[in-house]
Amino acid sequence: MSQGKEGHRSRKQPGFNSLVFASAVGFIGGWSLVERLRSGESGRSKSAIPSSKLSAVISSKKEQRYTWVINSLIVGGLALLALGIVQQQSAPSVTFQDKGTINTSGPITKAPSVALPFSPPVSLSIPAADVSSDMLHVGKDQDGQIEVPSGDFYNFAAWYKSSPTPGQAGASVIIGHVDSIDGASVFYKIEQLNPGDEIYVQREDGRQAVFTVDAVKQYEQDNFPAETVYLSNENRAELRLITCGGAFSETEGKYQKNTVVFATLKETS
Amino acid sequence: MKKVDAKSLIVGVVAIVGIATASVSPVLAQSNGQTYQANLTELNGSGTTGTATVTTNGRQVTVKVNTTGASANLVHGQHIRIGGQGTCPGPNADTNKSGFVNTVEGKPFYGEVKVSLTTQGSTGTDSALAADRYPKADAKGNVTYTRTFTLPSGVNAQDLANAVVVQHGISKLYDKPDQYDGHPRSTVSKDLPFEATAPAACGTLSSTPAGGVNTGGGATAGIESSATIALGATALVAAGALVVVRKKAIHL
Repeated sequence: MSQGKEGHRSRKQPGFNSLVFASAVGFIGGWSLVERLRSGESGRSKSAIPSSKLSAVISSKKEQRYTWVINSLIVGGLALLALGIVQQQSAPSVTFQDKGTINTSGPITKAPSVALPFSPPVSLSIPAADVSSDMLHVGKDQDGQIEVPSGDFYNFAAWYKSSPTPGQAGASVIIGHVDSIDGASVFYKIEQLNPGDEIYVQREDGRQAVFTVDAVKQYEQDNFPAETVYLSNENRAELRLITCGGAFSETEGKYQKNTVVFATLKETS
Repeated sequence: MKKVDAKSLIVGVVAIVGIATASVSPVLAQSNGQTYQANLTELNGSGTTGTATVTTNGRQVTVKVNTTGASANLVHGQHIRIGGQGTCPGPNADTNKSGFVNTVEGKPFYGEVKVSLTTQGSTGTDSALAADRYPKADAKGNVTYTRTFTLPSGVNAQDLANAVVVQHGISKLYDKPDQYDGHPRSTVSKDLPFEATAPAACGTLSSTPAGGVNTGGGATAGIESSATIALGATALVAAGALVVVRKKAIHL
């Protein structure tokens, strides 16, 4: 919260210039179309009204000015509406359904001896959610919550450095923003992950830890099951991905829920 | 002596019940307690790393320590240390320039032994060097430790907020690589070789994060570019109004 939204400007509107160009082309194209349609319309109306009466009431100059203004407003309005619609991004789903089962009481699929030693993560890749990011290392903020990336690093994934390193026994925690004030962020699509999807983490020791998604769940931020999420019952190498979800509260300036992906170490290299 | 045996029996039963409860229940701990976790990183080139968690329930704590890369088949002393800077010593802590950070040199950083993470019996400072009651690494160098006990007198649960877990024992420093041997003596006991008490892994305990994570700016929630859309709609309405106005003008 105290990070300040001003610091979150690193993500630009995607392809804004191309949108303006497309609008301009659309404007010209739309102009000729509307012009043709309107001339057809006025042709019909001319047949209804005697041409002598029409020319007597309106001077052709005035007619042209009206036409020009109306055409501008119609085409410009349509272009702006189209631009606005193109810029829509689906929000994190408010009707999210939990998927899968957290691997808490099942058999220990990976004994501690198979788990990797301490080595901080350097990057994260989740093809099923279009995630590819270098990794920040973060601690806790003044409120005791995990510090979130800000400024130039807003759209990076971040490993919580008091949790085990990915591949080590225990629950390794990686967080990322779902969006900024400008658009989608690094964990925008992780709520779309399904059990069985794979998560790849590259570590400082050059080894890679591959995790398989067990479950994707959402929790109210005000009633967050911290121990279920941040800790692991077993000596098993697990991973948690955390981002925001649910409805966005404008008054609080934050999302009401957290989306949590639970995963278990599948293999290492 | 009989009293002591009974006591350790009770402690043992409590530990077993604690482990059994922890493995049966899907919920890790009572929500009124606090859990601290630490990443143990190597000291003195030991190659030993791991994790520690301490879960409190009043004065009762469940401590788990898991390390890999520890000297195989040997006992590893381990303690919760309090009263220092709450940090692990870096290479600069080697004030006597021996090439190693010994247990005494680390004290300004990690503090004094306050809880001895023994497998049975006392967990107080009197057990700091109880070499026969500490966990032994398996043949692969893994140490797995879980024990539930009541904090020894003089230690409060809130002291764990500024505490460090240290595990000792590096057999490869002198002479035979698989034994605690060699001439140098421990800086904390003339009866033990330096290798047996050399700090091998260290980590600062940190309470688990409070609540969730504030990971969104809200840009994709609701309607984006609402100003653009409003302007477009206004233009269309104005166009419609003008058409009406003009038709009126025509029909005048």
